[in-house]
Amino acid sequence: MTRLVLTALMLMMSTMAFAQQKLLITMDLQQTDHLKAYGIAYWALTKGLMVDWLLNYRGGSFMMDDLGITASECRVRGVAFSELGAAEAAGIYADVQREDNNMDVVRLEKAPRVAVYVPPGFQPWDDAVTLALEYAEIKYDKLWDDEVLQGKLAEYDWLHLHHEDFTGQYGKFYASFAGAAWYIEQQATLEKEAHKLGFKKVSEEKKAVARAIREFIGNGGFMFAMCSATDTYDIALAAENTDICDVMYDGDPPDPGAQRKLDFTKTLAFTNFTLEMNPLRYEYSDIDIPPSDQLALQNPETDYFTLFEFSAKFDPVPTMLTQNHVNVIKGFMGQTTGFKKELIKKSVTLLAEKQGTDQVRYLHGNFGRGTFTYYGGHDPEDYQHAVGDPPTDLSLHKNSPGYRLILNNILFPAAKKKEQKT
Amino acid sequence: MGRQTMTKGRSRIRTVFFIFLTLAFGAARVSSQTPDAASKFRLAGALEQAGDLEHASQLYRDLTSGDPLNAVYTEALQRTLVQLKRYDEAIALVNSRLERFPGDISSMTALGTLNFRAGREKEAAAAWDRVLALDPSNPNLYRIVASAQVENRLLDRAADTYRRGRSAIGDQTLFTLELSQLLVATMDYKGATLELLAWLEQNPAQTNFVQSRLTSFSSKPDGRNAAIGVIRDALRGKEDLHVFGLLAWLYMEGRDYDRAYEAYVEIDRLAASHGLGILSFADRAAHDRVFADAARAYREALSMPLPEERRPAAMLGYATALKEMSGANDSTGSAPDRSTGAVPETRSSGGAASAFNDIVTRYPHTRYAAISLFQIGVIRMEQSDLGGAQEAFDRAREEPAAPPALRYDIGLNLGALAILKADTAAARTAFQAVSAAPDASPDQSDEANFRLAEIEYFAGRFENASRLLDAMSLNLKADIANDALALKAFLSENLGTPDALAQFARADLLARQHRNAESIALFQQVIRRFPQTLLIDDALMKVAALQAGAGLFQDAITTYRTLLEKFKESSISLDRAQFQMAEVYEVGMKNIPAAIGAYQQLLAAYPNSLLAEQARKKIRALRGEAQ
Repeated sequence: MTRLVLTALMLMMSTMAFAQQKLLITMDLQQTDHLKAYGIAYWALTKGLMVDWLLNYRGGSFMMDDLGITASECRVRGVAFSELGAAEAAGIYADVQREDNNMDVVRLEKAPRVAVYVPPGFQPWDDAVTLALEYAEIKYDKLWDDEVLQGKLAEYDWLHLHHEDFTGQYGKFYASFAGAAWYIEQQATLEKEAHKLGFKKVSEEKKAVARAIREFIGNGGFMFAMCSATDTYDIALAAENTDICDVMYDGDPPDPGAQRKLDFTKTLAFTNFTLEMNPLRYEYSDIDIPPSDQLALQNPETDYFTLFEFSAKFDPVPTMLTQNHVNVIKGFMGQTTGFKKELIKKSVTLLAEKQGTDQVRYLHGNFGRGTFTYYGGHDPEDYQHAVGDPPTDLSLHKNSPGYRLILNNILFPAAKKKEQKT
Repeated sequence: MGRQTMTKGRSRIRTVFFIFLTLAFGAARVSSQTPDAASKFRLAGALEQAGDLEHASQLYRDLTSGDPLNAVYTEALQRTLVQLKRYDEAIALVNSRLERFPGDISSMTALGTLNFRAGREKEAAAAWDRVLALDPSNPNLYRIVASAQVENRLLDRAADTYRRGRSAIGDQTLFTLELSQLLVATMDYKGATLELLAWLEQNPAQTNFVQSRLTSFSSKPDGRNAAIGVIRDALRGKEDLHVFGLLAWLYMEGRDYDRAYEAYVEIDRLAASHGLGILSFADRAAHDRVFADAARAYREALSMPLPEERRPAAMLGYATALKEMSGANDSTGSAPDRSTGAVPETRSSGGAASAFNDIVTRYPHTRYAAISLFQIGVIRMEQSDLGGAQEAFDRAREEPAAPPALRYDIGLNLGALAILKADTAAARTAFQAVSAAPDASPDQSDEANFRLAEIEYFAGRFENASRLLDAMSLNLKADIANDALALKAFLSENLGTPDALAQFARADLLARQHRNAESIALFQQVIRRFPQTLLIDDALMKVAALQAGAGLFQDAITTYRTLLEKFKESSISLDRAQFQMAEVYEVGMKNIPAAIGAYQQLLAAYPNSLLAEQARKKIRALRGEAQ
């Protein structure tokens, strides 16, 4: 009798768990708008719904309760979905969780609070992450140096850095744009900001900002950086005790012993790199590969990079970050395009590389209680995004695999932490 | 970021060049003394170039100790010490040189820089002050010091140095360009504009130069507003044609047409240009499609003693602006926007017609008269004044000065008018004339051919219609090609039921002639008599559209629902019906929840519809979401 009651109870519980109709947003080639699909998952989280991320199931699909408004919102945003009965949904869950399948379910519980590090004033280029967030309709706040130094980062789960230069060399655009109005204004604005915050030099202020961001990560924050924000961030951390900026950037010459004084224990991802001390060369160090002044030699027709495959059940984090409907992705250039493998710390997980080369395009690591992800290149759908180019219209790239990698990062902090199996 | 053209580093080149010069001239000087010193100097230069600053500075120090008066040695030593950031040693070196040459401006200025870099700002300021104190009335000293301050990124302080120079010298016109440039760099746009105005006052012929300087920040709203504020203040004290010119230009940059207009009026008055200044504003506003401001300016210009040869074009501009305003007003029925503005007495097509009539009266037998008559005809036709339209088109056609292209437009409109008057023979004649004209534009020819095909269709001669359409539908570049393809597809789909098609075409003709009640009745007859035909859903769509056009919104909804429910298995117009029903809710009945529901139903039922994206946008707009 007791066994009968227990069985009935278990049956009831499992029925309750799946009684609700489910809505499945597949992320394979059937999806009409991959980028907005992330926006739907985020929107659902903001409405208090739980979202299950089915890692490696049909391109990393999302499953959530079908409340009517969810389906309606998918339709309005042009996101393809299927409405599933309880039994059908249970079948998918069972399939995903089978031991012999490289799939798993990650529950997303809370919409991450997203901050984007955006300089004031006009920038003659666009930020791929901001474009992705806007297109996917994911809310974010803009922060700049004063907010970062005031400790505002603590109010956020996720921080994005894009085409920034944490070394205080204003993007090393001096050779080409020293006379451009936007460059002059940018330098003046940044100098004013630095002076206002009590720093004599922009480079010193940027180092302080870099340290504050490192503290944010150490306290459990998620940092995602693209393009030149990746290497310049690490360079700024390493150069804490030296001056690497030439006279046109900070009014005095660099420290001749700057290279020697770099402290690689302070960086997140890179080590043993060599600084590019020519102030007029559009490059910061030898981390970036290919160097920014050799991009013309690249052939977009043959430039692809490959995502590594991870065990969904044993390595859920890198698996989340590499969810995609393809595993070979169109390359794209940036001031920082890729990272030289030999200069990456051993503790860092490589997520994507250009096969047959020592160029890593996408990496992830832990620092303190938080994590960081670096993604090389500027705009996944504009092979060579130049200064002054118009922004990419993402409604023409709804299924962009390159942009998906960015959005994987935004949902990743929403994941419920679960015990590692190893 | 991608593309970056790299050149060999300028500063590196400068350094190498400097070392080279030092070696070349210095070595020549040194070699005249001791061979050992010369080779040591060459070695130091080589080390410096190779980046071994430590050893280079040591060698330069040895050389300086041996020959303390040798400026080449001391400069080289100072340079390497600065690069090594050993500012205290560099300061000591400069001080020792100053002991020997107390009035050396270069060393005194360098002392300021070195102290600043060493973090001793007070000493730096004192050093630079000492340079200025050498001869407070010498403008070049201020330039030298300000330049050193700019090099150290002390832009505000450099600006202060120039201001001090002005006071000390007692000439407020000094350093205007230097200051304006500095102030732009520090984003003090107000200050920069003040300096540029001062420059303009000194150099009244340089308006273009000042305008080009203002361009560096006038594209930014804050920069532009700051400049406008300064210029307006300046004009309060003194009326100046050049300054008004800058003000007008800045307003136009910001698309502030009202204020730009006022500025142009002042320019016109000050320059005594008899309305020509206002006329150029009117042309620019018309080009920017700001018709209210254009109309106002044309009217003002015409009230002035404009040169006679410019009057007809101005009158035509005025009448055209009025017509555009009334067109925008009539077609949307919404509140006036920026493009139509509020010039109440002229916001009717009657005003435009009257303005065109004035041209005809004052300039008969000119191209202006011909164009005006044509426009009057179009206005009359839109007003359903068919007699008035006919008269105007006939007169336009008879105008000897009418350009050929206008003649064909007149022909096309005469054809359309004849259809409205149910005179298909006259319509055919008019369209055939255009179709046969060798110098009609391709668009005009295509339209004529399409209208001829329509006439055949209305008359039930479907094969003739198809033949005519075949001749033109391949030209996909023509605007009318879509209409032609749609009619062709409709004909080929329904040729199998000629009776139904003939009745449908007659109803369609009645709709074209705005005989809506008769048209609806005839379409409904088609629906009743031929319920199994393929054109039944087209008939329902026509009925619903006519009902909506007549304000019978509930009837239109019922008709759309009939189509959606009864023909959901057979019609290919379901998504369009659903969309148009939603539009009736939205625009006609102003029932927003029902409209949203109808658009959502379209997305749910017809997710692959071409109208889905439009429906999504509509839903978002109705939900008040920014897109």
